[in-house]
Amino acid sequence: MARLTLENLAMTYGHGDPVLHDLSLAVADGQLVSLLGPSGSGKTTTLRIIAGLLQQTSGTIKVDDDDISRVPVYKRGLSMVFQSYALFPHLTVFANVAYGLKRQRISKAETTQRVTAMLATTGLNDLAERYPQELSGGQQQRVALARALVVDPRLLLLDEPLSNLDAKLRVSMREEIRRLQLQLHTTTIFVTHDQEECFAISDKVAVLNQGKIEQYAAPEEIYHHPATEFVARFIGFENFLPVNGTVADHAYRVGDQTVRVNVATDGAAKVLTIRPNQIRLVPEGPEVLSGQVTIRTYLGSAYRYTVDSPLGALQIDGPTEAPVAVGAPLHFTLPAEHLLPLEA
Amino acid sequence: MSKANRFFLLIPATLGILVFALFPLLQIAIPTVTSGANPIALYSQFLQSHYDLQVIFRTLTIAVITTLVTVLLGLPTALWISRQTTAWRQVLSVIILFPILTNAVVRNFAWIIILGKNGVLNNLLQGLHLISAPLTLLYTDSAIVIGSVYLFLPIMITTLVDSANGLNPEIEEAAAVLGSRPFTVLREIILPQMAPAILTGAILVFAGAMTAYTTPQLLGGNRHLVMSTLIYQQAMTLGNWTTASVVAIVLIGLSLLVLGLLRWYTGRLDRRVQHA
Repeated sequence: MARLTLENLAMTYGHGDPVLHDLSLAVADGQLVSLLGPSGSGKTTTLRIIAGLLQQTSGTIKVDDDDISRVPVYKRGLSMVFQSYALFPHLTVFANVAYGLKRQRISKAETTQRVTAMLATTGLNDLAERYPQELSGGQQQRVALARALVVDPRLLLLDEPLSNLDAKLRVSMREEIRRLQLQLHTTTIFVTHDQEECFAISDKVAVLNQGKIEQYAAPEEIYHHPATEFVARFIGFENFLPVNGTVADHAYRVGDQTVRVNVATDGAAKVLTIRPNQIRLVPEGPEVLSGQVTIRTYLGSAYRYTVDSPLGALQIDGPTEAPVAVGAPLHFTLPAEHLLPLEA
Repeated sequence: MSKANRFFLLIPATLGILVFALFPLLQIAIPTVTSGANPIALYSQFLQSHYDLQVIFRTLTIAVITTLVTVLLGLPTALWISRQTTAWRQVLSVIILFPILTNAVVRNFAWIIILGKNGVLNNLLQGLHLISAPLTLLYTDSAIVIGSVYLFLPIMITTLVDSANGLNPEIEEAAAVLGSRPFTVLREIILPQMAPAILTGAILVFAGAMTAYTTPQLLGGNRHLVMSTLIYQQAMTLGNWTTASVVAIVLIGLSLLVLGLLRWYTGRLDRRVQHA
């Protein structure tokens, strides 16, 4: 229940290349913010620095107005859920959840009361006397969450907590995490490489690439208006058309073609991007582009065609009712309202 | 597979155990009942002799102290090794095992050279003017403990390194985030997880230290007999096979008793880690 402010965080291991460059981030009280990025983007490093498990090379971490940059991990008063859950194998579920309260010298009566309440909230009442090895993955995950939340942490840090669960459980657990987080109003940082997962539960998403934040915005904003080519690629844009210059107020030159867009032309635009399912298949005609299908992939809900076109190779989705054979021509237009100019 | 077939498959192992383990044991036990004397009298005589009780007590004390010292030295070493890089860890494991690859007699002679009246250690201490006359280090109970620790430490470390390698560092980090200082993490999180391995190591070292012969023989001399050297003296020097057998049976009984206790305790710990 606090604000988190990261200012100019930088991290370098030994004499290697820096893994974080000048990273700044502000998280409002009670929000759930995701750090999204591929492995090696610095998202877990950032989380471990916030927790105090790693010491940043430079930069400041503030919770509300407390500067905790140099506070040792055991005095930060945060909670963390690990990828492996990291339950204490020699302690029962009850003792696992009670562990943090014991460290805070909370009385036995209050500990019992708070742990019991938290076990009820997380649906673990019947498992209190079990050992972690006797639980399923989903149950272990709940224990890890209960252990982290029972201490009423200023911040909850989640390090890819869902990656060891099967697909179905992952969806229900992420909803449970969001429910608990909203109910307890705990400021939460969620690290993941799964775009769908983080869009589903986050207030805001910070997309990380090579130790820098590429974009920090609400999920809807990132989905519809990716700021950079990296973000666009990461969230499912497949087509990137290099811009050769501007033609008119609402048109760019791509190869020897003119492509119309809906937004005012900007000299800084370097590529135009569009999702495969936003390209419209139409009958042959004037102003219609054509290309030859070179690869066809069945996606279940659609066919995805790789098309050799005057704009270069394009990924285009087509309906399953009317499949087009490899080698056959495909006719399409690029709807101006879906084309997105990107600067980098 | 039918029940009968499974029974047939058990025959070789059963025969092996009978021939190589039970038969020699019986060979030891038989003289104590066929010597003509009342076997109960033989054992009670042995257990009432002040001298023999002293030997039993010395044997147990040396085994217990050796076990404790190997745990105390082995634990930090194992934790340190397990936190090195993989390549360095392999080098260290070979170095640790080196004493085991050396002949037992050679190994103990090294200690004779170090601990003797004019040995390395006495010369060093005298050279530094820390002592005026040489200390009696060799042919003492302490010398046997030192030699046994040296002998069994690699076994303890190897057992503990295996366990320490299996520790999940995130579990220690979880404890730290929840407010535990490093020493608390060691006491409350690391040691309990390693307890089964510590007990396994203790069983191996204790059993070895109880029955070791070369080390007490060479470093303890004739005046500091333990049960194994007493057996040898009775059988080979005095030709008293019956007494030797009595001592052997008592030694086996004592070892089984202590190991049984340790095993029982390990079993209780295992409940928590059985699925790990």
